[in-house]
Amino acid sequence: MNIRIQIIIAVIIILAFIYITNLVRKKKVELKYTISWYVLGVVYLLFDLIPPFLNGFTRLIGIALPVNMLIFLAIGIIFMILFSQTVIISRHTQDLKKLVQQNALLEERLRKLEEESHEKE
Amino acid sequence: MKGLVIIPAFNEEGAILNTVRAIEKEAPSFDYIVINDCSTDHTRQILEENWLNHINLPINSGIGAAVQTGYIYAKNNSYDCAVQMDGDGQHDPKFLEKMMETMERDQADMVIGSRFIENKGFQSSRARRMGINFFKRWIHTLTGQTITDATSGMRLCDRAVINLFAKDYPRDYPEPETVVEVIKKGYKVEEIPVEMKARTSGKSSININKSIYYMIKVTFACFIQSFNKKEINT
Repeated sequence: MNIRIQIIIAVIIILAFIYITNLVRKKKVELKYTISWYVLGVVYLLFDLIPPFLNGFTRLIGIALPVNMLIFLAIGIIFMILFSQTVIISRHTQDLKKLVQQNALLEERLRKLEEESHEKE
Repeated sequence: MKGLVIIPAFNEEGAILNTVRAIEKEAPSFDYIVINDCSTDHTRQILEENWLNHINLPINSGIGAAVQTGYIYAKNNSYDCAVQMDGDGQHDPKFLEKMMETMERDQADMVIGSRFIENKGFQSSRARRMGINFFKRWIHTLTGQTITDATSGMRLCDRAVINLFAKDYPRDYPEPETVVEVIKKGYKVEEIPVEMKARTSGKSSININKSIYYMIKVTFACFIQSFNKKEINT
């Protein structure tokens, strides 16, 4: 693989690390959900900076070009992160529904209580 | 000083009543509040039948969110200090009064009950002690202060730290990173020796599968918290 693309990839990953870390520090994103992105970055850096490692895997899987191996790897990890987000969104949907229902039930109880106390007066 | 004991409880039907009764007996100057984190066992029924002071979270939100609910409650009811105590009976309430005395005497903002000053009582498993030791060194590197038991949930906080935690508190595994945050923001943190017991019932929230995630998350979270700047002048 060309040294230029290796450097470009490494620089992009390091910039992304700084950007994400800064967002976590400002509490704009949850640390919990950034860990998979860090893992993606670290795996990618390893493949990018250790050519024998990358070439070995490329041959093992049966891909012609190492660059294609990197793209294959990225898509694989992105699918994993994407699916985990589907799971997280589903959980949030359920939580939100439950919360709305609980809130409405609470409002109804409170309204009845207020009506009762009015009637007493 | 008006003190509050925050007891997060998730499926603690076997221990919660004894925990509360022990606090009433051994730490009479403290009020308490149980935060029931949407337990699926009979925790809620036990709390209601025995008229224990409690809050039911409508959705299971994790230990951090449960404890933070307690800090918000402490803030709203203007308590002078609040301490977290696990609902499983591991923490011994007889140390609470001593923690409060230490806080008043030394003007500390946070007093941590540590198992590893006198090394008495239940010392946790070997693997956990290794983890705790690692955090001791890591937190020393980041803050310059030695905290022998950063994972201890038994921590007494004053008003300033209650306000801080009411505003923002991590959702899972909150203890070590919030210690770093509090030290870095310039608050005074102290430790006193306590003894803990092995849990009498229920299960630990951390199993082997989660420990790797735990170590990575907490190590990293401590690092990020160490960017905090001093907020108060001491």
